[in-house]
Formats: sequence, structure tokens, C-alpha cells
Amino acid sequence: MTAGPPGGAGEAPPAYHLILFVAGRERNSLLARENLQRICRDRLNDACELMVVDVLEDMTLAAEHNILLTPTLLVLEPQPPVILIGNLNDAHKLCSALRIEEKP
Amino acid sequence: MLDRLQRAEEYIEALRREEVDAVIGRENILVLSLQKMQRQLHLSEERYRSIVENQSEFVCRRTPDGVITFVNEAYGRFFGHPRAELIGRRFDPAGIDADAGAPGAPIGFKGPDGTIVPTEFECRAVIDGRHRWIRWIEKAIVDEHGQPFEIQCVGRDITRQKEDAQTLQSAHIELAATVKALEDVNRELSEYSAAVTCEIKEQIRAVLNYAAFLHEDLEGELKEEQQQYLDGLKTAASRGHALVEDLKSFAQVGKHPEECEAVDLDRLVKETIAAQHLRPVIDVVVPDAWPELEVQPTLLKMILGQLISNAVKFNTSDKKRIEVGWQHAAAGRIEIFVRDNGIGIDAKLQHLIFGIFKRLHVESAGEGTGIGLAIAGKAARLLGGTLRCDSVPGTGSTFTLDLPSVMSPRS
Repeated sequence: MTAGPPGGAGEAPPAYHLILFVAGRERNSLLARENLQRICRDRLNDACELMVVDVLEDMTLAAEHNILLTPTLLVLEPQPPVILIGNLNDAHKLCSALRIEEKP
Repeated sequence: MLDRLQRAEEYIEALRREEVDAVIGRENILVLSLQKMQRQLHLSEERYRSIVENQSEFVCRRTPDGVITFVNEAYGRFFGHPRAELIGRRFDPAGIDADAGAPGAPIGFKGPDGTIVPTEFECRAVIDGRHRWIRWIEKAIVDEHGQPFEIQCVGRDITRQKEDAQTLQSAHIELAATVKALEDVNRELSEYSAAVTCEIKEQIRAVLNYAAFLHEDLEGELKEEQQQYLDGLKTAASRGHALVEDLKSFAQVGKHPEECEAVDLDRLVKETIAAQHLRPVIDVVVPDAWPELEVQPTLLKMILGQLISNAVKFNTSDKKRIEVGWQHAAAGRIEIFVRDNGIGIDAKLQHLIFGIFKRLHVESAGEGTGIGLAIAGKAARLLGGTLRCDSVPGTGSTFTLDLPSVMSPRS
């Protein structure tokens, strides 16, 4: 699933390029998806390219990026890349990874 | 390097927080349901502990160089040491003294297909002053490089089996000696009886000869009484001779074991009857069909011959009738019978007739020492069967031979 339409001609490219590696409908994977989608919606105004990769269906991308555990969030843009492991319940860590301020 | 360390720390941290669903391996993915796994691990541990603790076999784990890392309750009990005391000590299969019995292949011996082959060996130990035998099975537990990092030893007290085996062996030896002694005695008796009968026959022959000489020399000169004495002498000597001969025959029965063979009973019975040379006036009835039987033919002929002969001898009927027949009996056995319309045998005396030299009807029997049925009875026993008599005085007798033989019914 990807969120947000690709940028049309003349529009600025999305500021965020995120890949979330999950394992099917496992508990932590579902939590991570929920948390990420909420923050994309609320804080990033969906201006992000989000790719969700189910390693149970295809693990090649995970192998390419040396991902060992799921769920893992890989923030490719903005640089430098950041990896966040876990269900992303920790808002502070998530905001930090996305380089946004935590909402009070 | 730092990155990798940091990454590793993050992994551990995420696992600790139980926020990990799956681990991605090189070729497959392990989905973790951590709580479930922990529960399963706990259950497995409990099960293992229960198995190890509740069994009577001794379980011990040790390092490859022999230092004990774990023993179960049974081990501590058997060797008479508290478990805590044994941890860290050197493992010794005999517990206290190493005695007879050395391990076979070295621990961690790899079989042809690469699997670890357990080593089995027995050794003797002295526990509380008593010799005990233990059978050990040792197996190396190897790491991912195939190197043993622990040896698991499971032992069982086999003292009882060893003692039983030794008792059995002693009993066998004793039995063999007894059998040999019996065989020796048997042979001696046989030789003795052969020598004795030979001697006796010699003496009896001598008596008969002298009686004959006297008869020749004194013919016409003897008083009636004296003639009677001389006749009596000859009769007694002849009878003695016959008795010795029959005794020898009785001893000979079954002396040279005969092979069982498939016998056509129809032919055997007809041959036996023919050998009796019965007069045509005697009625002999036989069935049309006989089964084939696995039996020793000579012994069977001996029995039937004797029964048929008796059926004629002990028969004062005007029209003598003998019936030879057979029938199925219980449990796959067969009964062959000889029935006559002879003088019969008093019920009170029937048990005597199979005795040696037992003659019940001396007047009508004529010649014969009374050994016939004894011989028939012995032959029946050798065939694995029994011989019995059912009789009504004045009506007749039926002698039935019950045999356990394998039958192949004729088509």
C-alpha cells in the first residue's frame, strides 16, 4: 500500500520517503502501521511516500536493506537514513526519527 | 563497527520490549509470538525437568573433559551423594571405583551419515559394599560447528538382570550336567539290562536243554507225577524265556527314534490287518476313507497290530467281529479305535491291563506274557498320544488311540 499520489509535474517531490517492514497481521506490525499512518496524516499532511512491505510475502527488499526484525521503519528521506525498530508506540522516538517536533 | 554494535543494541532492546513480530533469516522468517514462545519454553522446561527427575534412570551432564554440570535426583540417590555435592566433580561411570567395562567408541563419534552415535557400555560399581552393574548410554551434544560442548549420560541399574543372567547360566550348566548324568545312567541301565537278559536267556536255555535231555533219557520210565513235573519245568522255562524276550522288546520300543512322515492310514491299517493273518471267518470292518497323518509309522503299526491281535485273542464269540475306525477329536486331534465283540474287561480291572505282564484272562489268552498292551501304551506315549479302554464284560471292548498329529485331510 502506498499513501499519497505521486507528485505531478511542477510539484515539489514528497519530503518523506518511508518504508515500513511488517510481518503480515501480527500484533506489533499492525500497531506500527496504525501509528505511522496516523502521524503521516496528522503531522505530515500525507506529504510522504510510504511503502509497506510484508516480509512474509516478499523478503527481498528487507534483505537488500539488511532488515533483521519486523516491524522496522526505514526513513530514506530526509537523509541521513534512519531505522526505527518496534511498533512505533513511542511517539517521541518516532518524531525524532522523522525530524519533527513532538506535539505537546 | 559502532553502527553494527548500536544496531545490535537496538535489536536487543526491541526484543526486550516485546515489540518484535518476526526475525528475518537468510532463507526464511521466524514469526515470533513472544509470549506464546515464552509460555511454550516454560512448559518444555517443566516437561523436561519432570521427565528427568521422575525417572529411575540416572541422568548426568558433563563437560567434554569430564566435569559434572548437572545430575538428576536418581543419580544422587544411587551413588549416595547429595546432588549439590556432585556438581563440579569429575564424572566416573562407576561412581566410586572404576572397574570392568571400558567405553566403546569415543564420545562424539560421528556415524556414516554424520549423526552422533551414542556410546553404550556397562561397568561394575561398588555401592555400599555391594557390586552393582550399570549400563550407560553417552551422547555428545554438539554446537553448530559439530564440536561437543556437553556430554549427556543416562545410566540404568542392570544388577538384577546381570544376576538373573548369571543364575540362569548356572542353572543351564547344572541342567546340562544332570542331563549328561541321566544319559550316562540310561546307557548303563540299557547295557546292564541287555547283559542281564542275555545271561538270563542263557540260563533258561540251559534249563530247557537239560529238561529236554532228561525227557529223552527217561522217556517211558517216568511216573505220571514225575512226567508232570518235567513238563511243568519245560513250560516254566519256556515262559521265562518268552518273558525275557518281551521285556527286551518293551525296552526297545522307541529306542531308535523314527522320523514323522505323512502316512496313508488306509494302506497302513490294511497292511497291519494283513500281517495278522486272520482267518476269513473273522469279520473285519474298516472305513472307506482315512485321512493322511504325520506320524511315526512303525510305532503306529505296533499299536494297531497289538490291538487287533487282542481283539481276536480275547474273543469267544461264534462270529468274531473287529471294527477299525477313526474320528475327529477336540483341538485338532484324531482318535483311531479298534472295537471287538470279545469277552470284555471288568471295569474294576481296566486300569491294570496296561501294566507289564498283567494278564487278566489266563485261561483264554493262551500264549503271551501280558506285555502286549504295555508295549502299545509305551508306543502311544512316544507318539505324543494316549491309549484308553472302554469295555463291557460279555459285550466287547473298544481301545482308542488319541493322537495329536497334524492332519492333511484326503480330498
